[in-house]
Amino acid sequence: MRYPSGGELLVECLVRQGVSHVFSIIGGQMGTIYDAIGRSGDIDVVTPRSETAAALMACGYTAASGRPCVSMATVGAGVVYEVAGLSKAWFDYLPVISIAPQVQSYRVKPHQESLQACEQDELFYPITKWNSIVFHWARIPQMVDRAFREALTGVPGPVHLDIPVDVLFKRSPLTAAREQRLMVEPGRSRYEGSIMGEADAAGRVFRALSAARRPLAVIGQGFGRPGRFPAAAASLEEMGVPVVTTVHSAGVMPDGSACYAGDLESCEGLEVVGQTDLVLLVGIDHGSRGFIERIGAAVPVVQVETDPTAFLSGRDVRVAVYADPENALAGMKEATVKADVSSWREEFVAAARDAADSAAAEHQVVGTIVDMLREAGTGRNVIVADGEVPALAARRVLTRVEHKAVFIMDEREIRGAGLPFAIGAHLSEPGDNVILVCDKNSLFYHVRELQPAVCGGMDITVICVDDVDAETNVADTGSVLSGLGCDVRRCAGGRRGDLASCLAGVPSAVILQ
Amino acid sequence: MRGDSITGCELISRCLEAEGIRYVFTAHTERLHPLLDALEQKGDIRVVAARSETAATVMADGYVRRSRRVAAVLTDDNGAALSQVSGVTNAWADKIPLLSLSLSADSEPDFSKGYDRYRFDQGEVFQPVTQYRSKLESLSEAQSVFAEAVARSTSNKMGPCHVDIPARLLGETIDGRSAPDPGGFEERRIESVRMCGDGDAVERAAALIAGAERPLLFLGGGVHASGAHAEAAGLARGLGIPVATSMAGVGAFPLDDPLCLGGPSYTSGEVFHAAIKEADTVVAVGVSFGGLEGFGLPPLWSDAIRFIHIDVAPLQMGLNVHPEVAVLGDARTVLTQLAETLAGRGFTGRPEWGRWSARLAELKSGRARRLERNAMRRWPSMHQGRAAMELGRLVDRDDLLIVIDGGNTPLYATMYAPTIKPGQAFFPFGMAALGGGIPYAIGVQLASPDRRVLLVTGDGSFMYNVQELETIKRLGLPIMIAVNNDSAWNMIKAMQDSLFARNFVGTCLPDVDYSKIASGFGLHAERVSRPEEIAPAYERAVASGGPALIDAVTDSTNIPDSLLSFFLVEFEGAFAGISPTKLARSLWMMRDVGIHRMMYMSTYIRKALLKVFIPSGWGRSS
Ligand SMILES: Cc1ncc(C[n+]2csc(CCOP(=O)(O)OP(=O)(O)O)c2C)c(N)n1
Ligand SMILES: [Mg+2]
Repeated sequence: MRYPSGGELLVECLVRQGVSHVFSIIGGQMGTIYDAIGRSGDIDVVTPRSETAAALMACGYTAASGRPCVSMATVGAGVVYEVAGLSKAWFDYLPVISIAPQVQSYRVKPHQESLQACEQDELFYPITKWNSIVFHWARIPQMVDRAFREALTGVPGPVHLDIPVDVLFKRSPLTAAREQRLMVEPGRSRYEGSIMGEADAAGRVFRALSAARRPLAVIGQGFGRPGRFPAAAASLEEMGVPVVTTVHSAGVMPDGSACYAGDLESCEGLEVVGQTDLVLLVGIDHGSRGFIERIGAAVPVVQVETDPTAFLSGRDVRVAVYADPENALAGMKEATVKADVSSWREEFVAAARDAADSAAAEHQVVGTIVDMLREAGTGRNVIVADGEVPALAARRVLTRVEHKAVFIMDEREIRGAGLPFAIGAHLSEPGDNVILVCDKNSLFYHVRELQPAVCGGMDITVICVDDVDAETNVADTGSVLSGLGCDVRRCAGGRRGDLASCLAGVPSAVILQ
Repeated sequence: MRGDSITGCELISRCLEAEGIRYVFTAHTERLHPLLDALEQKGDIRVVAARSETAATVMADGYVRRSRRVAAVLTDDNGAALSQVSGVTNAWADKIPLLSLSLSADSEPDFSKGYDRYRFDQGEVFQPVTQYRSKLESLSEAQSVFAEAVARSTSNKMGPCHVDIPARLLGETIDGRSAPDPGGFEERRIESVRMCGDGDAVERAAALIAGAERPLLFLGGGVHASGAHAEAAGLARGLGIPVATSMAGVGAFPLDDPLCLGGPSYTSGEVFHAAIKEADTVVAVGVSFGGLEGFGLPPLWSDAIRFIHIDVAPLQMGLNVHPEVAVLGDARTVLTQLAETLAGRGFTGRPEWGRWSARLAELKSGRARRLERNAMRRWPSMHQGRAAMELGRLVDRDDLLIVIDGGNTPLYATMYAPTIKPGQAFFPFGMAALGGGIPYAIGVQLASPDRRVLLVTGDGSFMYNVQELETIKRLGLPIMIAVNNDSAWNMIKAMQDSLFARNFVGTCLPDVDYSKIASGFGLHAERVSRPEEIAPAYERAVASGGPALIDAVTDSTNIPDSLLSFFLVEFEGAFAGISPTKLARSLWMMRDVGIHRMMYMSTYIRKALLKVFIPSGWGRSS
């Protein structure tokens, strides 16, 4: 018979759930967890230089791979740093599992001035889908399963578990029978199958679309990240409806798609948008919501969701389909072939791409960045954009440059997320080329993380737009990055090959002045 | 002018001015610009821009701690607001008044839609870690909302308050008559309400003291808040009572005074453990008796102690210890009352107190000799205590202000730098959260332009806010930084060393040259690896005229003995999972702890260990 500690039990449950990466800075109360991780060999601990960055790395990892991962911070002291980073998972619909130790179960609530303690579960209420405290050793497996279920079902998002130190250090007998009862396969502790919808789900979407002359598809978080629903993306392509994405679904359409108009930020205020006579909305998010509200109230909506709470209220939802995008959009091509929307599509796509181009044309450096990315372009480039100008460049890249994925950091959520996010993305698939395009002030937020990136030999490339006047940021970007161990080259105009030559080896940076 | 309409930005600036806020710490965003401009135009408000919201919050806290004046941190919403949480929680744990302001969403949260993520209630996050939080609903209530927040944060048990400012209000206008008058500015000092203690209670306290055989004066953060240093010292010296301080009370009494037990709380090791086991009466002044103080309860404290608890906050009374006499009042005032009452009785101490304090003093000097001997021995590389001794001499000589950050690093600093004077050290230890060092140093330095600040930090902690080296350069602050570079998250590595059979996971840091990083930011920086190199490097740093960093490479096998006491509190009730052989090994293997002293100390903690092992049945573990 085994006597696993709470920490060992936790780690076994995480491994069972397929977790391979934990982003974390240790604290004493995590002793048994780290000990178990070290002995299990199935999990890598990535140690950043602040817990905020740990959570942001977890976001990048999950966004890029679609796999959940764990952000872990120590009681009170670590958690209060983590909260800000985890809020990005909340805003971005990312199923990051956050775990923290707590003080002894008999001292958790109410707060009694324990060392490092606060009622930390309350910090997580507003920014997680679900959170709880595990008061008993035997409940660890069930609560871990529950955390994954809550994070991954419906509109995804982060969850948080607090585990008191006495529960983590406790050892209890685990008989084979007990083990079988407590530890179940992930497929049996949450619904992993497809959501088919009503038998004629596709037919209903089909009929609504057939009637439209100028339909527009707005796809948001429910479409998932690149590669999540490839068949649905192919269906959209076959239908020939113009498609716009939000920051939460950027780049889900295949490279070279003729339907992909780009990011909806670039379409904002375009005349063509006002001519739309039907919106196909797949997986709403807070970005697409505002956009749809601005399209006339009379324009009907066809909405596909995997979460029944997500259907719009207060406007004409002609057809509401509760199904996976795959199932709802299967066999759509006849719908639009009949209606022939090709000239409308061409008009829309051209207008949207022009808008992205002219926004970009205001900043010469955007052209330089796009050229560099094109030159270095391969299907393995993962581009992370952080800052206003970098976001403009990324929006053009979406429809014009070969890439694997594009992630645009939304400054309204949290600033400076780009570098840790890029590191997380790199770790999820070390064979990809992760390129961070950022401005100077955004880079400085978490610039420290270049040190572990350098020491870990991570192949990450930074293109930094050095656009800040010297009074508001007196540091020399190149010296700061070299001091942290980066291989730095500066270029005023962006010469051919500057980026390409950076794409191999340790962290390197190109600074555009 | 009166009668004209003014914008929300102007109104808010005038309100903050009227509240006596002189410093506003921030990180720039486009949306904040109009408000920051309005603040700067006030002339007497200084806006300090940090490179991150996390750091801005800690700077504000550092400024408040040093100046005892109110300051604000102001940021954008969402993640920017949540980035304040770490700093605000630190201030909350250490009971520091701080005005935390952030923009917020204009609309009310709508929780019915799972996807509507911007509309979360940002202010709710601040609920558990503030004294008070509120949201400005309209401009007309601005004046009262800010006044309330400042009043609440500075009254009674102090602490931070948070106010959300819906972004739309910045652009709205309002009749200027509803704004406070411009001008007439005076920076608001944090004044303690000089509440006196109940005469009866003071009498009873005096009687208890007079009858005590082994009294101990235990000073906490409340002594700093009240400015009661002289009164506390007067009482202790007048009667000859030994003095200990809590972590928050570090520096409330001179460490090198013969009556002082040594570093705060457990950092004075066996001296402290002996005192709290043997004392029969403890006069606790402004102490919260939290985990850092072992809750004032057995197994670390004797349960025969009679407590006299002096505090301004009635809710603190009886929270963990159950005092014999509770005196509700301001520390300085009550200590004065107590001294007068005792003097009125003609009481000047008892002869046996001399033996009691001599015994503790002997333990203290024995400990000091042992620590020094240990540090002076031959070590593979620089002993951490030795580095701290060198730095301590510099602090003493140049009258530096010292800010401490790290895990073991602060323990070494307080164990090996006994010349730290009252008010000289800033040890923001409430949450024991790493990483505030650089922004704290900035806040403290801004509050004291005539002194030089030395930050002593662990290597792990140093990096959290390294981007603020830019702020130090930009503001031209002469801050000195000493990194205790042991290439480890060493406090935790020590735990893995002793309790987890040296299974080092996530606790080793690579050999990073922090002087290179600092040079990258334009600081004068040097790397040293021998104790004799520290003072000359410091001289060159001072001569450089600007901010500077010394990266001191130290021995990572050093473990301060006071760590053991922390373990006992942190893992109380949890040791069941650790095999006693491993634990016993750890007690013997702590290299800094002479076996002799270790056995002595263990008589005080043996009971504690027995207590945690026996009921939990360790025998079944691995
Ligand atoms: C924000 C935060 N994260 C993690 C911890 C847990 N912790 C306590 S001490 C310590 C090691 C600190 O390392 P360093 O700053 O290098 O100081 P050292 O102990 O090595 O002197 C850690 C990780 C903490 N207290 N605060
Ligand atoms: Mg260290």
